[in-house]
Amino acid sequence: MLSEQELIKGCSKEDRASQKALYERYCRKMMAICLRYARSTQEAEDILQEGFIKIFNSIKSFRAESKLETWITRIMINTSLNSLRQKLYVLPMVDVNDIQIPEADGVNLSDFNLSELISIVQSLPDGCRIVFNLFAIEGYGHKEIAEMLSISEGTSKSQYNRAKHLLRSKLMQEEGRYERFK
Amino acid sequence: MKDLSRQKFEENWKSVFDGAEVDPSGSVWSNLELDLVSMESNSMKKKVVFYKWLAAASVFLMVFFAGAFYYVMQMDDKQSATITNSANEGSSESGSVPKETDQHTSSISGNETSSNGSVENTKNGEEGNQSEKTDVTIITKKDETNNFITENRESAGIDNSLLLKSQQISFLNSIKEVPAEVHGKIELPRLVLPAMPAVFMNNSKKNSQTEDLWASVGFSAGNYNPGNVSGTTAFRSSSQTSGAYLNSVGYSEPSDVGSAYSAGFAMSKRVFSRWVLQTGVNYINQSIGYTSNYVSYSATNQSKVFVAEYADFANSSVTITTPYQINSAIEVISLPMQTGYLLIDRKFGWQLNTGVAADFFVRNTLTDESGRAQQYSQGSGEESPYRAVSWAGLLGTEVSYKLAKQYRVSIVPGMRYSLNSVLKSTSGQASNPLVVDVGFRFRYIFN
Repeated sequence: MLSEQELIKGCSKEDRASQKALYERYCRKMMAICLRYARSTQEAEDILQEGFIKIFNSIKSFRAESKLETWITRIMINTSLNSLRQKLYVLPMVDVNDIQIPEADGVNLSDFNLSELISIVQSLPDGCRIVFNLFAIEGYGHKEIAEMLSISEGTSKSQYNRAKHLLRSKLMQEEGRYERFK
Repeated sequence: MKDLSRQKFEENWKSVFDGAEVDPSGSVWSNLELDLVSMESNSMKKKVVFYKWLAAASVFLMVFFAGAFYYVMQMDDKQSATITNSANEGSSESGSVPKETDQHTSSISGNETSSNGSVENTKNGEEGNQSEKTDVTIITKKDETNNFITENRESAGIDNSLLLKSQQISFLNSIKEVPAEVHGKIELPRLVLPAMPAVFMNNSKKNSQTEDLWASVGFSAGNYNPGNVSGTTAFRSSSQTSGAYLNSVGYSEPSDVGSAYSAGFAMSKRVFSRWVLQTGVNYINQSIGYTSNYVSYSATNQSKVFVAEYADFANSSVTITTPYQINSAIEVISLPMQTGYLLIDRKFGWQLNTGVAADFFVRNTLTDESGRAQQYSQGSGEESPYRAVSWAGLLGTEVSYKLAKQYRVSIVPGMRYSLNSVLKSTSGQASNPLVVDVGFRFRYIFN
């Protein structure tokens, strides 16, 4: 098994075997990320492919200031955002009214498997989905998200609240369905 | 409580997706690989296109500069020829004042017999003695747009030195006579620069123009490619002397590249302003290594080196032995006839040469590098596989530098390619050698 340094060196020389090894090492994790941002598996695979192209093209500039996985993840998130940016341009994110979120939802995520949760996230509207991913999963603040997406901080917050509301509703809905089949 | 609940919500989701893995379909890598291949080929194409453009741009620039240089030189030659001709056509008759003088004219009339000249400035309306013969004078006059222009007029009866003076004077006068108000105009640079008298421009070329005949000695060295059509020649031994190798296949195979050097003498004559004819005589030695497993035996039963070229000409018995290394040296006396074109004809010179050479075969010497077999040497004649005379095409350039009034040194990169095979057709082989070499020449210029 090639070390990280060997992989970087091989990919820098455009060695196909090294490129494939790098892809195989990170493609599953990256696919999970892409699925969260995309609306469908096909769209996620397109983003994954485009992201790896960018990675192979710019790996010479990787300076090892961060972990390789972190660097790849950042590229994949940026590629996802870019692919959705056009949709956001057509349907810009706007502030949504404050939604009353139930305080005790009683929904346990462990009742769901990964693909079910991914499907629930994918069902969110584009704006909500992006802000939810960036805030809840990637850990960015609303100010950073606002800068990244060229929206106001308030829009980011309201989109996130809406995402949470929709997610809880969907989870409860799914759980209710599940309970009925029990 | 509310904040804690929210934090818990995010933590739950984050823990679900942390380290989550989903297998992508196999088509992703296939498509990715196709993209990578496509990008690589595009990158190669871009590189190729870039180098094509670079080559095209280089050729264009070379042609442009050569053309511009040629044009400038032609203009110089024309002006020079006009001045020289008119000066030579001078008679003993007194010069006369030009017929045409517009607003401001300054001219000079010379008397060749007395070698005296008198400067006259004529204003508009003034006329001097008119002669039936026309004069050469440099006339600076104003045209309709108030520009000062300089004209050459045909003349007889004017001394070359006086002409130079007249040009200098008219040049100076033309500068003096620019009206003051002109300087205030925006077109100032266009108005105040009269044409440079040709004599001034020709001064720099005067030295090179005297180089009409020169002799040079030189030497060159370079790569020699025998250009064999059939690189390896093999035949089955007919000799009974070597039982071990009896019925073995013999061969002699030359190396890809050998070396060549030449030394010679050349005479060159300028036939036109920029065209040169040159001929001379060169001794050329072209050597190349062979690996051969032939040897021939003389009447005294001594083994001699042998290569396949001689297979059909050998009178002595030939047999096959262990492969050994041979050096084959071909000596030729060459009589070249070349035309040269002087692209740059100044202290620094640049000449393009092309032509043909008649190569007279002298001898071919085969030497066994191990020293076991005797050297074999064969001159031209019926027993030689080499033609007595063959023809070669020559192409080269000569970059020279004038060291003193009568000496030049030059570097001469060039190539020679045999237009016909140097081997006789009866040898069963063809060889059109190509030599690419760089020479050094020392030139003596006769005045």
